[in-house]
Amino acid sequence: MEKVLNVDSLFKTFGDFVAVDKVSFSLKNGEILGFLGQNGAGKTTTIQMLLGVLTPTSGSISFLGKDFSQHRSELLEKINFSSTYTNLPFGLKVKDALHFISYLYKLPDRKKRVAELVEIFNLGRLLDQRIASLSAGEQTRLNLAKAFINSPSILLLDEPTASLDPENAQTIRDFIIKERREHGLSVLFTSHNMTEVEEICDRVIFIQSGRITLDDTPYNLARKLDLSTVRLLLDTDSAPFQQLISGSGIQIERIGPEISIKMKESEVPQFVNSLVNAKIDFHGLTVTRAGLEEYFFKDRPDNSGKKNA
Amino acid sequence: MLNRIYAIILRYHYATIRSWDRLTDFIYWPFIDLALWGITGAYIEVSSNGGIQVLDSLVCGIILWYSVYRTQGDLSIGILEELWNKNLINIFSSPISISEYRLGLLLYNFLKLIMATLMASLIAYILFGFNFFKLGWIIAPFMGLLALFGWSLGIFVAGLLFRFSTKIQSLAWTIIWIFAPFSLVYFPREILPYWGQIVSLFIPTSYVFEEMRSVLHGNQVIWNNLILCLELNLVYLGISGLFFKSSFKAALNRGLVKIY
Repeated sequence: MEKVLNVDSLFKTFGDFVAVDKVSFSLKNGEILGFLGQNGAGKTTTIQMLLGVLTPTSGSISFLGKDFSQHRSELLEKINFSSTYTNLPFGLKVKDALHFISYLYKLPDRKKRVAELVEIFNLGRLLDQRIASLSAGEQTRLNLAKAFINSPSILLLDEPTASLDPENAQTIRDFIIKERREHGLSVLFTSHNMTEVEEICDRVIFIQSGRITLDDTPYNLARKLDLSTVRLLLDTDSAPFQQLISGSGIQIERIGPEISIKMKESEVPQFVNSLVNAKIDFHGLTVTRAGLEEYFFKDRPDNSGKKNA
Repeated sequence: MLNRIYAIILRYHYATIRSWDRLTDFIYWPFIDLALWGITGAYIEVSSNGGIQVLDSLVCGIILWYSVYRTQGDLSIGILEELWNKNLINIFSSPISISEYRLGLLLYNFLKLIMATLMASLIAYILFGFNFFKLGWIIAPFMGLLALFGWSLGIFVAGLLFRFSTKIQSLAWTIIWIFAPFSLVYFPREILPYWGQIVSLFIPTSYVFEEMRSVLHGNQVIWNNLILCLELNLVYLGISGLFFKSSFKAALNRGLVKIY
């Protein structure tokens, strides 16, 4: 697939502090790339440099094969962003904001595009409301409408669904996937919601202390961990069960009425088979493959050898 | 390019019509200024049994002063609004350039100035029967030269805001008043102490207000003074433009998200 974004050795310092340390990555046409990391890792700083609102100390950024610093205006016609960290002018009405923003871009039919976005993001009843009076979720929907106003080829989304309820968040995810399918939209997507990232992203990169430490598909990363969680209801005090686990090294965690056991994926059939052979009565068995959440935030040692919080 | 400049005009147009604060700028302050100074002028004329004619020059001075005051204030407050709203990123992550943004802001500013001048003229006519337009076509170069100085100061304050953010925001309202005495809005140059007269020679607006009084007394405009005023304006505009450019560059190095 053709690369629509290429970041090469991007470096940014604030005084002595290195915020982004020679970061290199690319985004392919039609790809949704998860850009993950803990708070302060350098995600937002990188995105600001990609938008041209922060000057890199060194390194290069190119979109659609063109150098960003040389073709800023031309490229920004095809790029847009949404972030929880920015606001549209509070004193304006929703319709005012969409109207003036539509003129920042070359659009064939501004009125039609604004009407489409009002429909998609369910902003119809909010058009005459001041932005200051919108709830966090409504402001997020407006920010997303703003982000799609120029029908971008490349979208940078910084925690776009952070303030949304599950239903609206799903609508937004579905819309992004539809835009990718129908118009080849490419997306750089940051989120702390790992379930969302697994659902939507083709690939993820992980930034830690300003450096990219991982670049892989969510599936491969989870497989590397080779961890499954078995949850079931049973009598843990029963003699057969006690006999089964004694000396096996199995660690049990109680979650309400259930017990949860972490083990390698390959060990799960053998464990279930042992329960059956020992005639242990159990119910509600579920097996969950480890996801990104476990990978990034629970079980992966960081560079210092400590576990991540 | 034109669509982006128009976007900025629209952005500030909406900010004005949705804000009572902004709308009062058109009526409330001109009314208060004109009423206070006009009545003071009328009192001086009555007290001197008509020996001192100051009402017209005071009222005319106030209306023209708006060309400096409003352009500087509106330009600086326009930038401040973007900082208060954290809207800089939305604007500058679009294809617009800083020059287009500044031009859009200046054009909107100019439209607003015309509206404000018309409103102040109407108030002056209603309150004192003073016809501002009796000055004739010379009003246009007077207002243009005054607006140029207002823009120089506005652009300079905008540069300061990009460097120091809202920590120095009060300058947006106050900086203009440092120049008011040396602009000779209400009195001729000779009234100032000697050192003040020297300072006023370097303030472009002083030449316009001196010429305004001269025209009101039936004299001809001395064009050399207005050309000198234009030259000074161009120097100040150049300096403030360079300062703004370097400040914006510094702001981009810090990140626009951190400017608020």
